Amino acid sequence: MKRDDDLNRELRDHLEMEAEELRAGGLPPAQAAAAARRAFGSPSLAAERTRDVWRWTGLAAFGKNVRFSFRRAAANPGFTATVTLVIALAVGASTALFSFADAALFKPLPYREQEKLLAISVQFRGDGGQLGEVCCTGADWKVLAANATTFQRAVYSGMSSEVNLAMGDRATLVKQQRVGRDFFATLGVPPVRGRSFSEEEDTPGGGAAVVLSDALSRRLFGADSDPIGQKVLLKGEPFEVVGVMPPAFYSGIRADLWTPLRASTSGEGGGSNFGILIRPMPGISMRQVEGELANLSRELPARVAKNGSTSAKWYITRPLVEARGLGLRAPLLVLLSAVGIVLLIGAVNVGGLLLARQSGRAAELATRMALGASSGQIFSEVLLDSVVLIALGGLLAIPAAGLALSGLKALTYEMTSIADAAALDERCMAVAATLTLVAGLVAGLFPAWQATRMQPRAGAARGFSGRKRRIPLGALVLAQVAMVVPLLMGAALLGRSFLGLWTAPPGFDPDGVLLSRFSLQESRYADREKVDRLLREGVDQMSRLPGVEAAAAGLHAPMERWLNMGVSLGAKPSPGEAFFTSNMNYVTPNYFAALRIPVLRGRVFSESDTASKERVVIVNEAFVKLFMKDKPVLDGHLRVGNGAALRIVGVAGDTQQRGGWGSYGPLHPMPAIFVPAAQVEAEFLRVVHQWFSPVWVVRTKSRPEALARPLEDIMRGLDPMLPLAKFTTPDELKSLTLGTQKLTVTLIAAISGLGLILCVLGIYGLVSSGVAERTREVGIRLALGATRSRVVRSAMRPGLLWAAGGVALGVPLAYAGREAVSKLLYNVKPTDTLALGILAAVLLLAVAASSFLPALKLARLDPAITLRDE
Amino acid sequence: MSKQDNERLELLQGTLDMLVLRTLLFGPCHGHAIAKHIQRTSDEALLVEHGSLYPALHRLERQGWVTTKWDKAPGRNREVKYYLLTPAGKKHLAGQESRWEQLVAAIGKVMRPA
Repeated sequence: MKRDDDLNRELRDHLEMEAEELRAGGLPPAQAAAAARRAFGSPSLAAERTRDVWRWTGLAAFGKNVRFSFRRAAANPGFTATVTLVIALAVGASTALFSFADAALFKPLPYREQEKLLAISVQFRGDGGQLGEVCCTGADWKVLAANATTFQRAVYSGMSSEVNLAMGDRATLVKQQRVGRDFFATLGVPPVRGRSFSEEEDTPGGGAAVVLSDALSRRLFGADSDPIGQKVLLKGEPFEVVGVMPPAFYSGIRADLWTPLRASTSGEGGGSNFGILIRPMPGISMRQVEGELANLSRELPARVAKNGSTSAKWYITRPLVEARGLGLRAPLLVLLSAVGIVLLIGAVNVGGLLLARQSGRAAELATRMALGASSGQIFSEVLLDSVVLIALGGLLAIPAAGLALSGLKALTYEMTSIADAAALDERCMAVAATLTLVAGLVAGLFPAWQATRMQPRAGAARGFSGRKRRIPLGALVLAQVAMVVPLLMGAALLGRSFLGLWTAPPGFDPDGVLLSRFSLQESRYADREKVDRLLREGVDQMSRLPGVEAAAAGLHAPMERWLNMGVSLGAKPSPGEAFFTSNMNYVTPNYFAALRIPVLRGRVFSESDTASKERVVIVNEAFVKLFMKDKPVLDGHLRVGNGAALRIVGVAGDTQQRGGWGSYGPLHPMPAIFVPAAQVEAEFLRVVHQWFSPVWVVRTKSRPEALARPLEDIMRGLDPMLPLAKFTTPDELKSLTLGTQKLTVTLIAAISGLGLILCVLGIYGLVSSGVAERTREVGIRLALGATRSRVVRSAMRPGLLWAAGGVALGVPLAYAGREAVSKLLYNVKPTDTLALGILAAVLLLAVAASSFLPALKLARLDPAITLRDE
Repeated sequence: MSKQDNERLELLQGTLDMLVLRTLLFGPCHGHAIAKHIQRTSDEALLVEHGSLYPALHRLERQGWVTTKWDKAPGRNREVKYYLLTPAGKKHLAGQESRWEQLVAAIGKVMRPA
């Protein structure tokens, strides 16, 4: 560096001059040089000390500049607060959403070497391409378990169910997940106490073993005692505690305990109900694993679909970490993009604020430059001011993000357990810091650069020529509006889609309906007759309670996920016949009356449809429309799986149910069949009660709180070890079923609302800065006879024009992004005209208001006062 | 650096700055000349540690009290770095001088109580 070279030269010169003097005094040259050196001491030490001075004075100067920045910020509290707030909101919202998305999509799973874990699912590939993906069957598990050599594997059920756990003389409902014995080992998280299930326990008919979660173990046995070997009364039988999991263990769903899955090829295993996860053996590559799976897939028989085409069954893998957030991936990515756009809008907005404020300092900065301050100095000083403000905003963003994240977690608690692990950890802090930095650069660079280009107008006391300055400000407004247009369009589209889903006719009368679940996954209720008696007596006693208009029971209520089964038509099986997938429910006779589901043809079930009578079934309209188009319905027959023929005695109206499979939206009037609860087989009950808890349906005019005690008393009278879950209503179920859509709409509305507010502020700022300048000019024009409305309109013009430019740019942007959002829309096209209309109206209102209000000041100008002030 | 060294250095730093500025009051000098001037004028009592002189000069420049210029030295064919006093430096010197006099007077009163 030049500085170092100069210093070295200086020191050398000094030595030479000293040596010269000594020579002049009579010393021989060599000795003179040496003496000079001795007198000087070490030149390198001198050089180092000088360099220290440079460093410390540099630092001190920087420190001084930072202090000045802080002082300037404190002197303008309003401005500082605005900038800080904008940045805090934008960065805070982004960070909170990132934390949520991180927990759902990106964060490594809490298992050993989690990147190696893979989830297996079954895909059907036919001539028409892929026909969809399903879970594995018991047969699939058998094939993989018996033949796999390249990987460790485990089978599990991805659903949890509520089961009865006896505590003293009562029982409570706890969440149970059923897993194969290799589940914990394959994940790499062994029980912290005891062991997983043995082979004997994991076989049908084997010993009753249970692995507890840490929380449940503490609740039942305390923190200190060893629960291994103790018995708990679960599902009506004694289960031996064989293991306890570590405290933070998370198996993909919320679970209080784990019991053996006992996977077989019958019952549950006869359908696509299992999840399988694998871990490649040490030293084995992915290619080898995929090769083995391909070989195994080839051995499988092809499937014949209802239109006669064949499709090959194929095992596919997916990293377990991807399988985690599958349902939320698309909406979260859209939301992350949206919040990123708002962050950009915020940064540009702050840039505009900084730019506008600079005009106030124009004279000062221009004078300093004229007096010799370098443009580099001015640039770094202005940039430092911006950075200080934005850094303050970034600091404030942390508590803001914390608040927002808590809100997000509360909002989604019922819906999913993915967010349980979401927290503001180092990853999120790093993201917050990066976003603040990016915002600082985007906001601060342009105004800093502008500051170095300020020229004092010759002869003017004030700074800068007005019109020229407003171009960059206007351009910033244009950019902000362009960015907010796609956001608002997305919000309008998602809003329409959600509203369509939410207000779809339910197919029954939800007002006054109360639902309460109970678990029949109990050894005692393996006996069909006990189930029948429980339902009959329960319904009877409940319907006689004061305030209850009707009571019934069923496996499912509307608005939630139902059991689905393969159904074929006709009384007798025929070779090569087609089968359809339909939802299925078992119900007591007055189910339809209690929910007020209309029966369009034929009859409802009655008390005489008992186990000893002919097997009957009621179908709904959707079923008829889909599967029985030109066939006679009443008195026709159908079979469920390999079961006996059921005679169709009625057609009921459709009710909304949770979809999500096939091509059905999240809530849809699915095709469904109903069978009398009295006529279902014991084996069927045993299997479905492993997955679903039946529900009491009570229609009442009074408040639910009034019914809680009486209903619990009835249950206790019928069976004290059968606890009731708390009440829900059909609307709450709908809210849960549409949880993802609700979340997406809420968040995108909030995010685009924030973006719109920022744009409005930007336009307001643009117009009012123009107004401030033109006060004198307008005064003159008014005095000369211009009308006030004309003056106001011309003041509004920059706001309107720049915003219009932004809209012109934003509409093609919105159009370009339509693919991204169309995945989330139901029954709404991305180019929906109503949404477009809403968007246009909202924008027009916002732009007009934000341009008009500041211009209003001009309308109230008194030209006499204005001119006098000059 | 021990505490004692720190104190010593600090005292010297402030005083050295003042002496350097005073020297420059007479006109521009290069580093060597400043050191010699102080040496001679103090009758050899003050031997400026040359290793402290240059840090001091650069510090004074940073603070804006002196400015530098490369110029031809008499009798040399190369350019040498000269230091000049700035108006701000002149003011600073005046302030330092008065503080110095106050300090000396105060110490005198303590050492020789009236």
